[in-house]
Amino acid sequence: MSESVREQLRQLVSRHTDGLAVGDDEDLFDRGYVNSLFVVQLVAWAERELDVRLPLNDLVLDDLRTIGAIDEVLRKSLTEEDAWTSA
Amino acid sequence: MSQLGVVGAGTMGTGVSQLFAEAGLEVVLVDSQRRALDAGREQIRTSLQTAHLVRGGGAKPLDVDAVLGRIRFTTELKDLSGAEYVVENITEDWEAKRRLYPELDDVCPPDTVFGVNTSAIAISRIGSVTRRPEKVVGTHFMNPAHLKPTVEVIRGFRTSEDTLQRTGELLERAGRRHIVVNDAAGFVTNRVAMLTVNEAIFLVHEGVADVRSIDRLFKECFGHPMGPLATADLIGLDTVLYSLEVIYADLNDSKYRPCPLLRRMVEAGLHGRKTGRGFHTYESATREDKAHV
Repeated sequence: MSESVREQLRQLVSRHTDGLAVGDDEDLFDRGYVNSLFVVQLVAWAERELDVRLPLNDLVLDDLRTIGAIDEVLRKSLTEEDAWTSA
Repeated sequence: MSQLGVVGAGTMGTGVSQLFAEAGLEVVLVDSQRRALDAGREQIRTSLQTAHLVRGGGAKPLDVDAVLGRIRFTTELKDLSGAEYVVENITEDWEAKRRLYPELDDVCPPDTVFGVNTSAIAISRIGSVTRRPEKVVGTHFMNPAHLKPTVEVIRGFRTSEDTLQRTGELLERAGRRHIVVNDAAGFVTNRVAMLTVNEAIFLVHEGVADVRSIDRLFKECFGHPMGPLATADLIGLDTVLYSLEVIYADLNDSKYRPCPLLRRMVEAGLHGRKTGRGFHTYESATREDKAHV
């Protein structure tokens, strides 16, 4: 499940870079691949595609700098949502 | 300043409303379309929710409901009767602006300043359709307005010093710097930026390089945060075309002729980020596109 989330995430990022492959540990912002608008897009995408609301108030930009880091945030959010729905 | 009016709930109008509501001002946001206001409210909400993430510097999450609570969303222009300052952000169309300003003139108190948030239309021309040209000034906010630190302020031919001062004070209240320039179609920023964007489109049109390569060259070689074609998508290709046409008509200078590819794309409905597709494709079309579906 989580691998497919990461793959979807890679695809999302690659749409922002017009197909340019980006490493999972590359800083998306520092390398100029994405800008602040990406955050809004990411939030909308997570809600629409994964049905996940990111815990925005608990996040800082450093949590979203790389594909690996975003994946971790998404995994955590997915787990918490599962816990809620199964409770 | 007790109340700020904002006309037009598109990308710029919502950004400007958010900026001043965050600064503690009571904002009245007017748009003739109820659905544009509804979509604008959601856009502001998302923007407020993610603001601390993109601003850096240890920014704290905002009180979203408190900021939204300072914005009144209305379809009635007459609700601007108490506004001391109005920032107008309607579509970049001279005829629409020519019709709007006399109405604003009738609704607003005589002392209200009109800040024109336009990409290219000369401020003196707008002043000429009001009874208060000395109170009309260009306030060219950049997108996204709540993130950009500086505003280009344009002194129209008849703009008074008092109007410039009030504009400066308003912007300072929202923590914004400003740079004053004299009146010319496109001002300083877009006179140069539109030419650059148009030339980048010609390079695609002529097959010199593809879209991705052009934008990468500007980002990776020049260190620009966005390439010119991604910038065009962000501004909106319809607005780019209109801005070029305005500058072209004003200066009668062929170097501002819009690239035919730009015209075709606009005719085909490829308006950039707001419709989900321009030179690049986007993950989700924003509310403007959804509103037209």
